Amino acid sequence: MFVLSGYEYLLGFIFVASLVPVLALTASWLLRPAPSGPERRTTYESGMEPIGGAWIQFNIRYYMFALVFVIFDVETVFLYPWAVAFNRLGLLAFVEALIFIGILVVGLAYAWRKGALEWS
Amino acid sequence: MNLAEGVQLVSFIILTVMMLGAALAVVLSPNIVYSAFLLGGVFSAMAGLYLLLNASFVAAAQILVYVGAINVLILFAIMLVNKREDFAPVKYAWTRKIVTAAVCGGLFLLLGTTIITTPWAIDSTAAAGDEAIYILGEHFFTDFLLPFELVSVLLLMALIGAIVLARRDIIPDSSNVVGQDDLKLPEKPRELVSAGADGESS
Amino acid sequence: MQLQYFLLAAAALFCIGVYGLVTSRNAVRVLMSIELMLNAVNLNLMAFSNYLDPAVIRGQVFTVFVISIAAAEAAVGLAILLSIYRNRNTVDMEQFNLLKW
Repeated sequence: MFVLSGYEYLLGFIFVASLVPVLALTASWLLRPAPSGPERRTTYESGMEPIGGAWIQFNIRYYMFALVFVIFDVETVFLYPWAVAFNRLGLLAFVEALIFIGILVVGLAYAWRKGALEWS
Repeated sequence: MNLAEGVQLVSFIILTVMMLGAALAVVLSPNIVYSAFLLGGVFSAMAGLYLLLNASFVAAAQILVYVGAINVLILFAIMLVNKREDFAPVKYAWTRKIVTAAVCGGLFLLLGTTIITTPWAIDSTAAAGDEAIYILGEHFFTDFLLPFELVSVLLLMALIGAIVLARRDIIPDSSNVVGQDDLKLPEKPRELVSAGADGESS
Repeated sequence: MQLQYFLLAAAALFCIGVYGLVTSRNAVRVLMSIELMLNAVNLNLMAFSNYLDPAVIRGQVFTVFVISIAAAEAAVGLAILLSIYRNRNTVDMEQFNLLKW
């Protein structure tokens, strides 16, 4: 049994939002001139000539940032219910949440010290 | 069946078809980048199913963690190992696939029979709904307190372990910086392991 | 809608994940298959939480824990994969045979 309320707007929103790309692509398909020439198939990069392909090997620093982001994203998921229910939980929960954050701050300090947060 | 139940059933069918189709494409697509993007589709459809199961917070967490973080991490890892390599064909690869498909189909049949024949003790009290997030918070700080704190230790270990494993060439030379030596890992200079490349002739 | 629909969908997703886990050659796809299996488990837990335990929602608590463990698993698994790639210069599962006899 579905008890959540207000999600009919989400349904309508998803429906309208899924129509947008279909309509946009159909309209451009109807209006555009016929494709011609090899330049037509290249990547459009704000008028610049694209250099190389898009599927290049990334730098490992991207992975480092994503890694730190994943860990603290999960931390957010745990802290959000605590923040919402803060008034019901009281002081002891505050101390426990501080311990939780403190353990992860150690990880942040380690990542910082190891240079995972620096670009250069 | 009234209108709301009909809409829910249709949403469930659409989401399930989307989820299973995208999952099949993840497994079967020859292009790994398409697989990664379709994996995001699987996760989004799962979030929709969670909404149908009255869990708005977990649906948001699913989008936030899986689509926002894990999928991005997987994409970055794919772009890091982005080498167009054609895998050497293995003998009896098709037998392996057929046997695996048969085993998976059998597993599905077994699970399906169990699901259908089990008399589930359905609890018909009203679901928590929007109260769920308060109940979750109370669970985290009362009866699930130890797992809650252990998760932070687990995340700390994952962060440190992943940095140690993936780091090796992120800092080219940090030995001349004062104070970095105590944090440096004793690593022997890396040399390419050549075992397996020449030893295996199968 | 019934509990069984969700359980059947989760079972199908789990079997797809097992198939991908066994047959994939690319190591990244193996990790993706593990994520699919974890998601199937999550769907099971959420369905049980909604239909068998709707007031106390222990299933949702478990799901949040499983999500966090999946995040840690993906982080460490992909780091191991990058490490192997750096040493062996391939992501082919058939080449990862250091411990194979």
